[in-house]
Amino acid sequence: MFDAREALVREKFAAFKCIIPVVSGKGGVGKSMISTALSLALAKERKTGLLDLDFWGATAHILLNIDNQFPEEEHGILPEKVGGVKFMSVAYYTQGNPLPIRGMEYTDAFLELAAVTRWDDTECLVIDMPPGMADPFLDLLKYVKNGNFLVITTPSKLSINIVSKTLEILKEQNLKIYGLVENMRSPEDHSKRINNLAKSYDVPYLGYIPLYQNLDVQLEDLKDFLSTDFFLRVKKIAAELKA
Amino acid sequence: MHEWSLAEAVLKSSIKEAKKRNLKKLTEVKIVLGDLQGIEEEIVKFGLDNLKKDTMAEEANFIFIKEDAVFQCRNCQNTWNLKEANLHDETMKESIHFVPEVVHSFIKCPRCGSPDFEVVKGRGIYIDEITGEDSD
Repeated sequence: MFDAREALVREKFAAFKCIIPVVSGKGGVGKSMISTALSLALAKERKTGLLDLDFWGATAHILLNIDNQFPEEEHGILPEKVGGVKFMSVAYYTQGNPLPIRGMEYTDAFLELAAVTRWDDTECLVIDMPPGMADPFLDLLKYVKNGNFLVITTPSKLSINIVSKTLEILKEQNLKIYGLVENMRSPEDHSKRINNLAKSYDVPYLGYIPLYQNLDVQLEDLKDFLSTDFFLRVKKIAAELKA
Repeated sequence: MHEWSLAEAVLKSSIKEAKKRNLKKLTEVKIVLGDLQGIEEEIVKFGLDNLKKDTMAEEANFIFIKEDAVFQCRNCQNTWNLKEANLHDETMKESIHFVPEVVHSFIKCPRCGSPDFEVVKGRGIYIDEITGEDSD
């Protein structure tokens, strides 16, 4: 008895020219906002997809203004295209309800979604990851061998503490790291804490994104999102990733 | 028609496993279809018959085994089946068809109301057994 999906899942991920898992050990540091903005920015230059793997707290669909209509089916599931980005999330199937599942059920749902989604000619896949190092993170390490990680932290001491552990495990596993992004920095904060954190793990410091009060509250549609300073900051970071 | 992807998945995994066992060709693949996911056997079979051409599974016979879904509550150990789960809403059924784990978004233990239950069997698709001929 063995799993029917694993071989196809590995093959599907291996087919991407670039995979950017957006990770952080800490929750609430802006991974979903950055992942979504990053995929929209990259989509202007190359065929890009966004996969929301935060099954317990899927939110990227809210930023992309996607309703609960099922994506189309044709020899698999065709991700919906929004703002030039092909998008897939479990949110289509939970219909707005909570998804109280344990780790082993997470793995099953992950394999199912990854096996049936048809990314076709998508070159670059941005993955919005849940926080932590439990099953989603371990599944990512197991099935996605060509990821180049974008690590997100805020200047908070708590975040730095946890994110240093994320960096430690990524380095220890010899995984590629695009760099560290400092999010939600207050205008009065001129410290070099995050630069130093990046230096101590020998990863690039990709810049900071200021703290924007009520950023998501102001967003009515995708056009609003694309015109925010936040998006322009992420766009700059996206340009660095290509370099 | 997302069954086509599942057929592709079954074929790739069967071939990978056959190669691991040094088989030259696959002669039989036993596939279990769990009741919960409601997979259309005919479409999976159609997909497999199309996809197997020019592979080591070209002459393989695909056998399907149906498995009833059974749930068990992790809180009170109550067990129940799909009929008792009362999944009548078409959108719910369709959602579960794509990702069976979202059943946790729609049902709870009928005895204690806990959302913490396990799909003990009959979840979805898996390969029970492969048979083939080896290199000699």
